[in-house]
Amino acid sequence: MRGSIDADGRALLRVGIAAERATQPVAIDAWIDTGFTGDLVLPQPIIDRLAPRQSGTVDAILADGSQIEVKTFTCFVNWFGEERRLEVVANDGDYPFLGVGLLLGLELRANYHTMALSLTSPSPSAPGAGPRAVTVASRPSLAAGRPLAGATCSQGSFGSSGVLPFSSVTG
Amino acid sequence: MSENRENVADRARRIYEERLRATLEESHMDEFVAIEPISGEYFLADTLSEAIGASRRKYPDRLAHALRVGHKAAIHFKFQIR
Repeated sequence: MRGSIDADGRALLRVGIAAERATQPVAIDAWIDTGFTGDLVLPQPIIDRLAPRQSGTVDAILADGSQIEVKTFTCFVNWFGEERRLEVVANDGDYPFLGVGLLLGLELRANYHTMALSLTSPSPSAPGAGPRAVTVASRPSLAAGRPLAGATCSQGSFGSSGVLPFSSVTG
Repeated sequence: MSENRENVADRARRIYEERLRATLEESHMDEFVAIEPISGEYFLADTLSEAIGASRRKYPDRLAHALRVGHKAAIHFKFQIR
């Protein structure tokens, strides 16, 4: 997957995002933020346009150290050739941000000489290699007095083409 | 939605503090945990999306609140302000 570095030095990656599965995605240029520990942040106007379902809330710490509570919304992105479900964070900022949650297992290269940016799947252990067991576990609360019953969830494999179908994206 | 958003977060934080913190911080440090406060169930994962997504798959019409085990908050913003 190829991105770009703009005149202000921001590393940008184009992502196709939709509120429902198998619907026409909207293209956004997300600013890669390795200081953001989530997956994707979208400004409220883009959330309003997509109209996704709210899935929950999350506590966040801002750059100034203050703590806020923000909403999360279920969206779907075309990520390395496959549809991936994301819980997107809404905020009142101006830019979409792409965080380390989407970068895990991938190799990000930013060349500030050529202003080129690429995101690739570098090794057999990366997401492009096949299904990966993730440590999602559904457990009754301890207070409920039930035994812990772990369950695993399989994360689907990603295609290796690594290119988003930008030509089919509107927005 | 079947519940108030503020109540979800407050109740989830209380469940974490009263029932989960000691156990999870022993063996699941740095993982994301989504708490569905009506059932009291919680869902651990390596990413925010996986944790909340697991809760939504089991309770499609209920909101969850996410925290990160051992952290003040689940997510950190480096650049933007609200």
